[in-house]
Amino acid sequence: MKSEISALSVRGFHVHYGHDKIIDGVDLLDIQSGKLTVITGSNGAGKSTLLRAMSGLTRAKGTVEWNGCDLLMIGAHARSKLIGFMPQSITASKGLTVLESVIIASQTLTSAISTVKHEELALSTLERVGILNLAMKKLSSLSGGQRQLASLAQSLVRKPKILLLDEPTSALDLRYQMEVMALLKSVTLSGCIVILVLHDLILASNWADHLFFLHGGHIVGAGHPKEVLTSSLLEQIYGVKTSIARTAEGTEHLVIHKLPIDITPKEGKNGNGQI
Amino acid sequence: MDRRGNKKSMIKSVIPTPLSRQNIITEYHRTIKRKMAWIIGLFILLLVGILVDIMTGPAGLSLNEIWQGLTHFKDPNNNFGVIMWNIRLPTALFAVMIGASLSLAGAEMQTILFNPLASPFTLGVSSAAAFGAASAIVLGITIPFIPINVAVPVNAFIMAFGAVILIQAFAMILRESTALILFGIALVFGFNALVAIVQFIAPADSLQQLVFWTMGGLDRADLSSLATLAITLILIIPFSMKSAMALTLLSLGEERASSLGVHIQRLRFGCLLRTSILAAISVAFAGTIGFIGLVGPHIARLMVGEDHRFFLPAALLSGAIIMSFASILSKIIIIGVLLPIGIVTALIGLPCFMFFLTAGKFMR
Repeated sequence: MKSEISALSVRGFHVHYGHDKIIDGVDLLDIQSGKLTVITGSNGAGKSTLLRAMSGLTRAKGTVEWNGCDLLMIGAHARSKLIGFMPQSITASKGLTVLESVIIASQTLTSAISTVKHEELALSTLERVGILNLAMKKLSSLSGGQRQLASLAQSLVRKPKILLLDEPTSALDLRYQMEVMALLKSVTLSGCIVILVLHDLILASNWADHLFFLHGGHIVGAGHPKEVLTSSLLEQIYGVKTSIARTAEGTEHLVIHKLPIDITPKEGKNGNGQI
Repeated sequence: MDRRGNKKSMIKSVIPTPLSRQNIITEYHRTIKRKMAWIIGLFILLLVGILVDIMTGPAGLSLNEIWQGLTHFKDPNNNFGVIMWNIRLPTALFAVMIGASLSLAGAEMQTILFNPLASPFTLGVSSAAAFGAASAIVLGITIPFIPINVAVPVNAFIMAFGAVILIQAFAMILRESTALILFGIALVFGFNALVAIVQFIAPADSLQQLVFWTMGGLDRADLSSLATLAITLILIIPFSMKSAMALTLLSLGEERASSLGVHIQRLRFGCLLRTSILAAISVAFAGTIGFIGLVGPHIARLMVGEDHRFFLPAALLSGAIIMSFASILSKIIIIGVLLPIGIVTALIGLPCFMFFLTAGKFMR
């Protein structure tokens, strides 16, 4: 499928919560469609905040330029038509079914198409995400991973130009992780800019075409995962040793080494030496 | 493409999928029809409730007598007409509109505050209104130039609306629903304490009047109160229905709703404004009536789910029905005695609530 490449640049981004600087002068330049872009980093690095701020849900200083316009300067409703944001926390509505939630997500985008068309779009999206069999299930009856897939369908049905996903695979099993990453790759190849926050460095290194490493509100590495996820950076950030292993097929994989296990009793919080 | 001509799934589902697109859409349409049927059923039940409410009373009216009363409304010598048009019908409609207002207010409050316990009663609006009424009844504090017969509802409305403005201001500062509920609970305790002080110093006759007011009643049903309630509902319902889609998305979480284009602050402000007007006017006219704002939405949710295009009308009708049947019961529990409606709603609300909560486990 041939599609027009679009690009997005985040410049001079600052997010403050009170006196705390969460994002401090971040630039994410030339993020293109067709390439999976991943933001990773340690806990509390500001990844989710950065993604929320890019989607306009958190107040930020800076610009998000796309097609010559600053997306933070346009109205929230217009912005929501361009940007699809999938949050990390998913509230399960007690009374809505998966299909209802996806149809309503579609209906709020436009009233220009018929109800039947919205229903068809919703079904196609559920099929694409692989949860057609869950269509008539109540959201509250789903597992965490199934809810993530339903949430992904709610975002995808609106056919956004930019898709921002906060940990979309955190509750998924291995198979679904692979399938969702493949789906997101196909979405970006069809012309949508896809940026996702991932904690899982193996998944990030295997799937990302472009990776930003965030630490303490700053970008400490940007580029291809091979260039960014270096042993020295990972040891410096996480205090964990890593190496690159080459498979028989010649592909390189990130290997994370175990931490040495200290079995000597320590003074725990309760003072009895138990961990 | 598969055999049914559907696009092939990008993700091969791990669980085998026995449902075809056609099956799913048929099932979906069936659920929509079921929801419509619930709403029509509730409407019919409401009509039955109104009819029985009109029939019930010290002078029981048959269907024939009601018909005569309806058709001879201009004849002052027709007793049925006088009873119908001056007493039974206004009271029956008053009950319906109070129930509808409180339940609609409760439904919207529960959604915007993400809390199933939210209602005009739990957020302190009713307690504030009670304090307003107490200050008029006992202390004689009224708005200048207001006729004495409307002083109590006017005071109740002002205090209820004041409470809502406080809640609104608090909502704008904190922007957090849990804190808002806690603030509402604090208001309940605060205003209840103030009412208790007024009761403590009240002379015997005022105290009795105040106690009756706080028990809630339909005896203030007259043309002006009916017209005020009807106009309020007619003006507010379209705005509620316009927000139905946004409220449905809100039930998926604030962040999710925001990302789908819902302006949360604007939605919350609109909802609180609507619910405050509905609650304040209801409480001002009918006194403190608990449970309706809480139970009505829960019953509606069990019947039609959380798609607010169905949920809001169902909640409105459920509240109206409960009030209508509470009005009937208030006349027949003790023959010859008209019990305060607030006591009856609490009495029937609890078993009703328990039944639907239990039944809800088995309802699809």
